[in-house]
Amino acid sequence: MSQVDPHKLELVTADGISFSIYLASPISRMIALGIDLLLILGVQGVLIVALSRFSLVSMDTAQALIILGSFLLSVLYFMLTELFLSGKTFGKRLLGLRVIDARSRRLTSSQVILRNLFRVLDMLPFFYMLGGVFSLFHPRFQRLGDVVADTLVIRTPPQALPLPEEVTQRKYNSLRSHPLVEGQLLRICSPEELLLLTEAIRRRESLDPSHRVELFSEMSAYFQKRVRFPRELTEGVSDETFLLNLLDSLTRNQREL
Amino acid sequence: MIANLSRFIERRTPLWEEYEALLSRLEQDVALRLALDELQRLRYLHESVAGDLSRIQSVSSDPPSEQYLESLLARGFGYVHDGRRRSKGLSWLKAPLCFAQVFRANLRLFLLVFASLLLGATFGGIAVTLDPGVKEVFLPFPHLLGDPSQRVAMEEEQTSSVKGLEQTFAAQLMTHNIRVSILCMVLGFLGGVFTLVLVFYNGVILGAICVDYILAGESRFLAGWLLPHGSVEIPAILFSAMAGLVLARALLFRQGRLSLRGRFRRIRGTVVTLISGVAVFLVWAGIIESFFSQYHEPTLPYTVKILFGLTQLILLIAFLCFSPPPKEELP
Repeated sequence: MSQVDPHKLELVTADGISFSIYLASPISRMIALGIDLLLILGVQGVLIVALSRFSLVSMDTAQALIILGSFLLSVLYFMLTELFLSGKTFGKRLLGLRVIDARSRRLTSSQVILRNLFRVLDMLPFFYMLGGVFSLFHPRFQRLGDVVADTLVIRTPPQALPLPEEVTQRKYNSLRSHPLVEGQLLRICSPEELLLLTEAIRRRESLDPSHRVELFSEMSAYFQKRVRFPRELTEGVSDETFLLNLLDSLTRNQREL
Repeated sequence: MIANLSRFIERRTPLWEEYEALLSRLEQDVALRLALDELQRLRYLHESVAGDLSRIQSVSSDPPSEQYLESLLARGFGYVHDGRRRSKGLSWLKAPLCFAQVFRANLRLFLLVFASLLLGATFGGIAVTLDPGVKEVFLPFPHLLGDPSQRVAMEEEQTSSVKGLEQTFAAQLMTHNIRVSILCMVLGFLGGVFTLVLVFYNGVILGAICVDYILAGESRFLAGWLLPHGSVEIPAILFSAMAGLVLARALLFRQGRLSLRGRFRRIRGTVVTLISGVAVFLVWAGIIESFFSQYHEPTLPYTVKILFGLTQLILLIAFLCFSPPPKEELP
């Protein structure tokens, strides 16, 4: 494993093929932590309210359950989510972060337990000061718990299979001159419809020609029912071209980010 | 050689999607064990994707495809290149044996921690003998600052000082003691000095209390009060300090050619085994302290309490020294 860019780690497979993983910055980790802590606080609040009702039966039992529940939640939340959600707490999941073994092997339970027990030290003297400052100066942005457990936190933005070149390199798309229609399309089109459209475009070469024409005709009719397109956008344009234009409009903003 | 990138991507997409689906299955179910043919398929798909990435990188620049394949390889790398045998996890029966084995393997560190506790207790005891006023400096518990005989008389008048609040008290004890033991363990990362200081300080408190009660002629009360839970709680704190010293040893002392990372990797299982055992001991100690230790004569004879505490201590020592080694490899 070698390091060139401070945020980038190069990994080499057994066949000598190299690829990169991207380290999470201390700031993004801090935001993920903030989300997790808010979540823990929220659940603790719910727990306290729920168990307080139990105090009518036994005040002692209710208090004991609140103390134990809050403690277990604060200790086990990070461990269980990282263990069972592939190294992602809910905060990390929202920010596209993930804990991995520093040698890119499978994360073991002892690593997860240790890195999370070390939060006690990392959070000294207040709000992760020690761990935060340490990770800022560490070449791989590890906090103390990461060093002991030999773990890294990396960025794993959702990577979808790239769109065909006909979409990404599209020069002429009549829809682009109708921003209102594009806006309406973006509002109305569901993720499932977008996926369907993407897959149809991606796999069109493998379709039988007659089925291809039939499928694109049906899909074109479907989208024209969903959104009212001006006639100049649909007239004289093949169904396939129309759908390519649609896909370009639906994904352009995302691609340009 | 890729003549037409679009066609290449289109042709290889089913393979990439199959690999992605297999990875998603593995990520969603951490306990999933693939069959041999699935494992072979996973390896084949991983190598195919790596090969495709290499081809795309060598012939053209297509960042989206590269990023996508890199993300797939990053997700799958650990599953394919991890040569470690996957542990089935220790059974409830074998985990304690493993704890005892780890304890025996690091006995010297335990003796060092124990010496620190004894040193602190001696210091605390001598200090209280020479000047009873130091109790106010050493003891953080207001109910222990007064005259021991007065407290004993008061405690014996009532059934229990925590009557009706046993469960809350037990929960507070468990959570507080587990927090302290975790702190004691992680402080080992700072060279072990703070771990030993923490144990020494606990020794000072223990020594001061013991001598104070012995001098007041309340030895039976003291033994009946402390032994039932102390026979588990004090060793548990010492085990956590031991885990801290295991960390400190890995940090400070070279072991052959092993790097610091390698040394930490080697002791990870030991530390987790020790601290997991500590948590179990402290839960038990919390229950005993709350539901048993706080009841005194005439409700509960001191002899019963002392015998209970001594039996527990002997059983603990016997378990640590004589339990058979587990069949599994040490963590």
